[in-house]
Order: sequence, then C-alpha cells, then structure tokens
Amino acid sequence: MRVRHSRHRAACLVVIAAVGITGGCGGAPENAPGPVSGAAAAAHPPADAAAEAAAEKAALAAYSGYLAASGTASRRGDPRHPELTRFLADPLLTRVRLAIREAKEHGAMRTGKLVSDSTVTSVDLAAEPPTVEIQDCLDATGWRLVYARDRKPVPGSRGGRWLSTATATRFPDGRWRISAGQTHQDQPC
Amino acid sequence: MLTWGGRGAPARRVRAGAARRPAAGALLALLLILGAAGPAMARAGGPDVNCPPTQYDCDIWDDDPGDPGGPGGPGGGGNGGETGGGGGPAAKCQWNGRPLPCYDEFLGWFNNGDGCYYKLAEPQPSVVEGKQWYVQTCNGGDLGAQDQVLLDAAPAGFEAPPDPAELARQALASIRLLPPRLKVAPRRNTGPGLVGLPVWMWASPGPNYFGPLHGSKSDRGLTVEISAKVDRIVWDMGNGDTVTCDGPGTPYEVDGPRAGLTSPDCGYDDGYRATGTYRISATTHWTVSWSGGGESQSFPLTRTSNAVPIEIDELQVVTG
Repeated sequence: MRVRHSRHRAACLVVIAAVGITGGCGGAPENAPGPVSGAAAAAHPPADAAAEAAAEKAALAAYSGYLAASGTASRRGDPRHPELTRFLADPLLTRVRLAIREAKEHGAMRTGKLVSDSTVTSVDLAAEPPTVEIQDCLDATGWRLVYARDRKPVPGSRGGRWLSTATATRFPDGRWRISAGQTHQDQPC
Repeated sequence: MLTWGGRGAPARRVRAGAARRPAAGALLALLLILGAAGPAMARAGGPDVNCPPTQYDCDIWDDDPGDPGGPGGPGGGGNGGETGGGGGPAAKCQWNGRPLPCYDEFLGWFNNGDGCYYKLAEPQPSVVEGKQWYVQTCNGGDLGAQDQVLLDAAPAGFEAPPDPAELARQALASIRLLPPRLKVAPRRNTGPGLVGLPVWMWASPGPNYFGPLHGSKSDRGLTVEISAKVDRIVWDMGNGDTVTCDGPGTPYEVDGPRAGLTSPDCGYDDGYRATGTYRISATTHWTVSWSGGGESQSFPLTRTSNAVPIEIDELQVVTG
C-alpha cells in the first residue's frame, strides 16, 4: 500500500504535469483504470505512479460529479435522481437521499451553488476495494436551504466555508464513486 | 322556574353494572394495553452524525416534527406523527417499544430481532462468493449507527412485501381521533343543579370528535384506505349511572325553547337522586374500518374525556 500526500491544492494540475495527460481536469469521468495489484505496483514504480495518477483523476472527477448530481437532486427535491448513482455509492448515497427527502418533507429545497476546491490527500490502490481520499475547502456560503413556497431561508441554515472530506472507491464495474463524505464545521477554511 | 321535568327524550339510560357489551369492553381494554401507534422514526441526523459535504445542515430538522400532511415514511418522516391518543393494533415492527415502519424506501427492511434496517449496498463494493454487502442502520433507523456489513444470508424481514394490516396501522396514526370535549347543564352560569331535575349533556361536534375521518397509506403500490366514525358516546354521570347517546347532543340555552325541559337527544332526564358534586366524563366509541390489498377489517377504539364537575343541591319548595 502506498499513500501519497499531496501538498498542492490543485492536485489534478500536478497530475497532468507529472504524467503528461492532456485534456481537462476531471473531464473524463468514465476513465477507469484496470486492477493494479500491490505486488505489481511495487515491482514497477512508473506504472504505479501512472495508475495512481489515473486513480486521482478519476476520483476527483467522481467527486465533482457527486457535487453536481447532489446539487441537481437537492434543487429538484428528487432523492431518486438517476445521476446520483453514477457518482455516489453507499453509505453516502443513502445519506444524501435521506437528507433530500427530509428537506422535501419539510417543504424545503436548496438554491444557489457550491464552490469546490478539492485535492487528493491519499491514494490506496492495494486496498480492497481501492480508495482515494479527497479533501475540499467547500464554499457553501451561497448554498442555501429555503422553503419552496416562498424561497425564504430555513431558520438555522447558514452556509459557510468548511473543510469537507470524502472517500472515492473503485467498484467492480471499474467506476470510481464517492462512498463516504463529511462536513467538518469545526474546521473553517 | 324549577321544573326540569319532562319525559320522552330518546337517550338510553343504563344503570350501573349493566355493561352494554362486555365482550367488546374486554377487547377495547386489550387494544388500549397494546399501546400507541405512530410511525415516527429516528431523525435523519442526531447530534453525533456528521453531515455529507453537500448537506452540511442535515441536522437542521432535528427539533422539528415535520409536516404531518407530507409524504409518510420515516425520516421524517416520520413523518406523520401519532396524534390520536393511541389505541389500535400493535405495530408489527418496533424498537424499544417505539412503533416503526417495517419498510423504508431508502433504509430498506426492518429486522425486529436486532432493531436495524437493511438494504443491499448500492452498488456492491466487492464480489464475495455467497455473501452480500448490506447497509445496516441500527437503533431503529439511527444514522449515527449506520454501517456496511457483509452477510451470508438475508436478515429477517428482508424483502418482505407490504403488509395491509401494517399499512392500516400507519393510516390510523395519520388521522386524529380526539377525546370528546364536554359541556353539561346546569352549571353555575345556567342556574343551580337540583335533585331530580334533568341534566343536559353535549360534546363538541366535528370530524375529529365524532367522525367520519378518512385516511390512506401506500407502500410499493399497495394502498390501504381507512375510515373511522363514532357509533355512540357513553356518559359516566359520576354516580354509577351511564347514559348512552347516538351523537354529540344539544347545547342547553337558558332562553331557548326547551329551557327547563329535557334535552331532546342526550340527557340525564330523571336527574340526580342525591345532593353532591359529581364528576361527569364521556367516552366515544369509534369503529375503525380499513380495506386494501384484498383484505378488510373493522375494530373498535375508544377515547375518554376529562371529567367536568356538576354541583347538585337540595330541591327546596319556594312559597310566596
């Protein structure tokens, strides 16, 4: 198992510079690397670095896909929005669905936008299943919970800029999905 | 003006000890023992629950019971709260005495044995021969007690189809069967109560007190309709006598056409036989009927009021 800590905020840019991948950062969500065993990775460090880079890229793409899908589903109050299963996996998938349903039951929905600034903090391709840890200084100051009838903010709902962490997992179908994630409101950023 | 006499009121008077339906009474007592019925479930986010990045305020509803008219289900669901004062059949799924829905669209099926909901992990994180990953939400649906577990057999209750009787219980919990609100005459402001003079009794009318009430609950394509109405109200006069009436009764008016006479439909026409302060209460006897999924059933429920006092003085002959 290798864990790499990126000190750079724009991790995907680093990846592009190091491995020479061209194309937009996070623009290829279907890019799923094949299985990499821990032993093989140790024997061939360059292949390992390439696999990690590809995993980081796919994980960050899944993360931005999660933010977008969750945003759309929350704005529409639709816990069954089909985009959710493309980028999310249990248990986070269930958590997000429940939160959307609960808001809907209270006559509330979300408006505005989330501004993400995500980086990869570690990659573990030897784990079963393989995982990538992501952190984000997520700016939710414009991401509000409001009542659907009058668009007034729900009392007690106030956005902020807090550290969020998420885990991307590679599934047997080869896709990376975000399977866990939390907001750390005790850690403003 | 001391004549509260008169005859012919249709109210049926029953002496103490003459229980009208002993068998039904025993059943009612059993139903009451079986306890309250309510689908409220643990809130989605407890104090120890970390919210997802995109729902940083997922615990915002923790102190809010939610919209009782909203879609059912737990998270809130809980949605609909139990408001009718209990009674009715016992919940099929319970945790620590709390009734819970046996199925939740997102948490899955409830296992009465361990108090956890189970759903298949979506998607399966790994393929393990003969086993499957489940999202397990324990403590009756507490997200702080959520885990992903690998099991070699489906938990008890998993993939159970919707149960009409269970839906009927939830539908009953969504309608409000309220205890009767009483008024009696004479009272202090309508003149003194006297031995041997008629007493009027009446209760607030309205669907929540006398029906008819209607509700329904659906789960995975099965809908159960429920209705409830009061068949009779039994007044306990506080001295061992009971009076049974068919409806809420008629308010007494001091300047009305029947002032000083008997109630046309709900009275204690012969009055009290001895002076004293009596505590009057009343019990409404509901019949609850439901149908759905090819099944139907009826059962009784009761709601009992608080007691209201009535003061009865000695009849004195006034000569002038």
